[in-house]
Amino acid sequence: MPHQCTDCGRTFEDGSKEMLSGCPDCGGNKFQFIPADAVDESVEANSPGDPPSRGSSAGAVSKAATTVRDWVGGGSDEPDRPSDRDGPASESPSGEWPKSGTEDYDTPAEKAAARTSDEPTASADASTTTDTTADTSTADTTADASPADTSTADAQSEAASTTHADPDSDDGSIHARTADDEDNAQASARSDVVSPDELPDGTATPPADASEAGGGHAAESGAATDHDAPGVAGPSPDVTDDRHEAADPADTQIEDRPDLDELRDELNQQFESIKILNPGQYELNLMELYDREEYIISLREDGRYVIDVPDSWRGED
Amino acid sequence: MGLISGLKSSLQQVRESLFTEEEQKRIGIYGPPNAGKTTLANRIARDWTGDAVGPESHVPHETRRARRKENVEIERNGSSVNIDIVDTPGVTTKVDYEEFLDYEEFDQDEAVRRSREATEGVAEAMHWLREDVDGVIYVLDSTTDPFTQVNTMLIGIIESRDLPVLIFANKIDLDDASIKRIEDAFPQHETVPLSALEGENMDEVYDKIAEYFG
Repeated sequence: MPHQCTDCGRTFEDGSKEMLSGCPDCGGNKFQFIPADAVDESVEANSPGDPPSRGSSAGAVSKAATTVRDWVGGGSDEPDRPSDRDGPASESPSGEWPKSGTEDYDTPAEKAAARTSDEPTASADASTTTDTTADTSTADTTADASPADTSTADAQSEAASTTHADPDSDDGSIHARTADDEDNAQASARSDVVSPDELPDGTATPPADASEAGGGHAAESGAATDHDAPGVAGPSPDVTDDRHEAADPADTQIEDRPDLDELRDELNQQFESIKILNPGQYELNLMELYDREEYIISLREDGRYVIDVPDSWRGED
Repeated sequence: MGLISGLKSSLQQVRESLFTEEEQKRIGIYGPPNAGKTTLANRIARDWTGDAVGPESHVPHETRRARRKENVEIERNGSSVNIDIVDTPGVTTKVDYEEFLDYEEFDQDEAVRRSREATEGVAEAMHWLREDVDGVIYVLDSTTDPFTQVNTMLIGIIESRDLPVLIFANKIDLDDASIKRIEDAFPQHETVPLSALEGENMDEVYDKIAEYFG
C-alpha cells in the first residue's frame, strides 16, 4: 500500500497515475505513503477496516485504531471544505498509532483514546504516559498551529514527530510530506516513461495496510517505538480537537462577514444616481436618475448636488 | 435651470395658445453620445422650420442640455403632423473628462467642466424621459455595436412607459454601417435607416414620424 487515500482509504499501487487527479472514489486529494522498508515488516495486507488476525493485543491495537479512524473519518465528513482538508491530516497519524507503539504502551493509550475520543484529555493521557516533554510540546505546537487549517502546520508537526522518533521505524510510519514524498511524486511522474524496476526502492512496495504495518512494528523493540508513541500518538487527539474547531461554522462565518459589509456598501452605492469618482469622472445610475422625482441640475465636485424638486419650477428667462 | 423652466413655461404657453384639434406631441430624440441626435434634430428642424436646433460636433457630449424645437410641422400625404422636437444629451453610464482630452481643443479644466455638464445632461435627459416626452426617436450609430447597457436600459424604460418608439439607424453613409445589426438587436421595434448628415432616406424618416407620432 504505497499510497492510500486519507479520505476513503482506497489504496493505490506505487506509480499509479490514478491519484494524480484526485481519488477516483471520493475525490480526495490527500494521500499517505508507506515506503517499502516499513511495509516489509507487516504481516498481512488487509483493507483498513479488516480485523487483524494477530495476537489479542495487536488485535486490540488495530481495533482501537480502526475505531479512532472510523470516528475521525466519520467526523471529517461533516465539516465543510477547509476542515475537510484538515480531517485527513489528522486521520493519518491515528492510523499509525499501533505501528509506532508497543503493545504495552499503545494499547492503554489508544483504548483511552478510543473510549474518550470525544474528550481532549486523550491527548493529555498519551503525552503524560510517555513522559516525553519535547514531544508533548511538539504536539502542543501542532494544536496551536493547526486551527489555521494550514497544511504546512500539519506537515511541520509530522516532520517534528519524525525528528524525535527513530528514523528507521519512523520512515515507515511517516507518510505525506517528508522528502520521501517528493521523490515519490517524481517517481510517479517518471513511471510514465520508465519501467517500475527503475523507480526508487522506497516507492516500489507491496500494498499493505497502515494498521497492519503497525502491528508488525509492534513486535519491534520498545525503545524506538516508545519514543515514537508520543510524537505520533500525541498529535492525533490534539489535531482531532482542532478538527472540531475547524468544523465549527464560525470559522467560515468570520470570513464571510467582511464580504457582507462590502456587499452592503456596493448595494448602497448602486442606489446613488450619480457617483463622483473624481472631479470630471462620473458613474451614472440611469434607472435611479429616471426614477427619482427630484432632478439633479448641477453637480459640485465635493459630492453635493444641486437639485430641483417638482412644483418648485420658477419662471425665469 | 433657466433653460429648463423656460422650456417648461413656454411649453405651457404653447399648450394654452394652441387651439388645434390635435394635441402637440413632444418627441424626444434619445440615444448614446455621438450617435447623431443633434444632426438629426437639426436636419428635421431645418427641413420644416428653417432653423437649427443646436451646434453639431464630432465631440461626444456636445449637447449637454436638452434643446427643444417647438411646433415643427411635418406635412405628409396632404395632412400635417405638429410635433416638438427635444434633442437630448447623449445618455451614458460613465463620463470621464479624459475622453475630452483626446480632442486638442480642450485643456484639463475645460474637459472637467464638459464632463460635469455632460453628466448633468444625462440627468436632464432621464428627467425629460420621465416627465416630458410623448414619443421617442432612438438614434443609434449603425457603425457601432447596439448591444450596450445604455441602449438596453433606455429602451427598456421607454417600453415600460408604453411610449411609441422608432429606432433610427444613423450614419448609413459610412462604410462599416450595419442596419441589420440594429434590427436584430431590437426586433420588437421598427428600424429606420438614415444618414442625418447626408440627408439619406429622409422621406421614409418623415413618413414614419407622421405614422408613429401623428
